[in-house]
Amino acid sequence: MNEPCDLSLRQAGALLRRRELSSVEFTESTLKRIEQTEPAIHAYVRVMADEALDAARQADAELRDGTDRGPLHGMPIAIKDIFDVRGVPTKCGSRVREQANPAADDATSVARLRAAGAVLLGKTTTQEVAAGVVSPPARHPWDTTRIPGGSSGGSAAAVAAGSALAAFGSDTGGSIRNPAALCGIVGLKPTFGTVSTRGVFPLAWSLDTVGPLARTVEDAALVLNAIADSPARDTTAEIGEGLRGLRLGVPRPHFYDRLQAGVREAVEAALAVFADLGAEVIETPWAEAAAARATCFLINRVETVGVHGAGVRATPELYGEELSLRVQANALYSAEGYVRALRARSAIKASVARLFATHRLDALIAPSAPGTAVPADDLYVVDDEGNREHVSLAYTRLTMPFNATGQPVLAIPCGFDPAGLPIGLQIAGRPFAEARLCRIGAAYESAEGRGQRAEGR
Amino acid sequence: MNADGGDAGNAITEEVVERLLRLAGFAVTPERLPAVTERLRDLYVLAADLDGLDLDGFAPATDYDPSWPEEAMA
Repeated sequence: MNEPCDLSLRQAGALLRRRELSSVEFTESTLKRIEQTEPAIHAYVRVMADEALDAARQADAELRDGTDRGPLHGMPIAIKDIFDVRGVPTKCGSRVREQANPAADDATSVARLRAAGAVLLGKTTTQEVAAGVVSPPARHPWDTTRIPGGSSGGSAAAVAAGSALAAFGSDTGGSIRNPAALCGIVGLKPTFGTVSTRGVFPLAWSLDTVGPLARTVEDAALVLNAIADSPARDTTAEIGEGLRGLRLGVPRPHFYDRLQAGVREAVEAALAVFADLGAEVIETPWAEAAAARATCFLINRVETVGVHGAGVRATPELYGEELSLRVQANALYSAEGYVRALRARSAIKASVARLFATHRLDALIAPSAPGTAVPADDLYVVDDEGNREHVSLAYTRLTMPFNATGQPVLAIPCGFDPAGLPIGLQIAGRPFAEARLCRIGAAYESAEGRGQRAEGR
Repeated sequence: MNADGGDAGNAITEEVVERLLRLAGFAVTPERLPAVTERLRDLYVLAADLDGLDLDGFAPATDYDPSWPEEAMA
């Protein structure tokens, strides 16, 4: 550890500007880490080593010539393989896309990343069409018998392993926050619509949200600043302001139900840290939380048919068994039920707005996932009473409510279970208040340290 | 079939699912029918979580922009 590829974007950028390390050196360090770790973690489906080194050389030349494109200049960053990258096929972990032509253009967010001077390292592993939480064949970088979560599992594994300084993910039902939590890194799901999804393969249009995975809260904020549609909002603006005067809600029940003991203890300890840092931590039940989850689930499922129904009819053999079964079942769900879910979404937005207004909240604090990373050969979260819940339900139970509302959510690491596996919590805020979330997350991070790899693992 | 989770679960049988799948143009294989049926029932069970919401006054959360692109308006 402590190689250039293990640094935060902020640390790396400082070294770059002091000419102590070059973009080429950061990129070479990252490519070396990829070589070392890929045989075990499979975070990448494509490594673009030559292109990355070319881009790094260009970034160094620009800096020498006095052109500094900002905090991402010369930084090696990975892209989930549902984003178009010019000249590279977007395969989405799907056999349907196996023969896809190279993308003619960058996704808008990828183009913004390039314009910010970033070095594109390659495409990361995702669950088939980003519809799930396992991301095979990617494995957890701390314990390769386990999964990294998903569907941005390759991105999270790469950032945690040091094989990217940051990465792009997408979050339709928790696919940034879940792998961030499982891999002990930071994930930021911005307010719905904050980052363009043009050039990103859809899963459910009205829920799909693009955002960063990174090592620190500030790094995530820096990436969001570079790719957001409204660059006038500085997501780092409040970092360092502390928590005094902020009000944080604890939405029991739902978000604190059926947790593994290690998760419960870590999140309760984090709530005490927030209070010690000066925040007012108050109990704020959100009665509609379960309905919010159901709303997201139903909308997600029906819209997925819109994307994949024709494909499952025409070439069912190119779809995985579970996705194919799901698409067929979802196609039979009633139109009336779908419209009811859309009406419920309006009601749920109103309910969470009321909750924030009534308690004058800055954010809600909840676990990101009810359990830690599970073994790849036993995809069930087991709670302390021995109840088994399949990861497809367990890992989205606490994240989906905020996809229904479209609120911004920051996921940060908050400790380890008895086996040394990372635990995460999520901080959900008011629409477009990403800067406030980063203030809260960064204050916790400063107090408790970033989600460092457990000693000896 | 109603929209809520109430009676719909009981109405969803493998026979019904098979007919609906054919109508919807999907290939139907008998060994997959139980799994598709189970997943469809699960959706209706989940939909019961919406029963407690008062939806009066709430329109569907859709966002349709009727404006045309600038080049079409020229």
